[in-house]
Amino acid sequence: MVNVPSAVWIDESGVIVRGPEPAGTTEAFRNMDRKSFSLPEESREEIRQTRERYTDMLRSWVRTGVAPRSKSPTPTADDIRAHAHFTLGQYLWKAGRQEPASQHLAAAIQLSPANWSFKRQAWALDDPTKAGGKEFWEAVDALGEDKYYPEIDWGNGP
Amino acid sequence: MPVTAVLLYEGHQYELPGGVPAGEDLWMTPGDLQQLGWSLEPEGMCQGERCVPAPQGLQLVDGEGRVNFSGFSRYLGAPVLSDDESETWVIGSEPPPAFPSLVNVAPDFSLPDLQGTTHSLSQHRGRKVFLVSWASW
Repeated sequence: MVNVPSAVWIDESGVIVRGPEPAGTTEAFRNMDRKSFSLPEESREEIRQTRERYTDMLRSWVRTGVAPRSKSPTPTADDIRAHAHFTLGQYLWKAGRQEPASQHLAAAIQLSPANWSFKRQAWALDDPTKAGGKEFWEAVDALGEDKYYPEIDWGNGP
Repeated sequence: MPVTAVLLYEGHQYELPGGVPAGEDLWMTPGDLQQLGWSLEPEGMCQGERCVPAPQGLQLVDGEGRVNFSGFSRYLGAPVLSDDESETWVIGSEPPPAFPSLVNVAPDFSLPDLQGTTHSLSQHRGRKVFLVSWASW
């Protein structure tokens, strides 16, 4: 899970059916007013419709046991190394060793730039307001045309 | 010289009182190794039913019976990191198989709830699970 909200669907035998994937959310959050946190009506409607479509697909799976399978992303060698750096950085930060911790957290972010959980958790260790503040929005804006959330794979679902 | 090393491995934190760091490797006693779910057997390094033959060219066991688990993990393709000052080590995940299985079983994990009660994914076997991550940023 490299972002929030993310979801994984797991069946009765412990098999991953879908995900991790964005849990019924869209890029429309990027239209948020950064002072009032309000969204334009069309963005609110887009998010509402996506969420409804996603929960309909979820309800259908619960009722029937059938869901369009989505491909789970495969971590790269860099993603795995990034996770190790993040684990060590987080441990060292909590142990009061901020300087080496920061180096490991920065390495994690550099190795796995699409992992927003690494970025935001690292920012939050330094200052809880950063994870949703200026740093966050600057990083989102820097994406330009690139996506913040990958597209949900709807298959042939509702 | 033995130290109490901290090893972060597979989502758990282990204290290894018989750890001997040497260069980029962490050697550990068979007892410490067992804590991690591994053991040294005649057929190689074993984790449950999975056994990996001792890698050629890697000194796996030293003269005092300590095992080079970090070197072995590196051989399996897992990243090994350390912070020398605090004797903290991280051994990361092995790379995914080149030909992944069509059946992708979710790895088990445990997390505490707000009351401190631990819940494991495996407790929910037999039921569908919708697992959501969320944050209050």
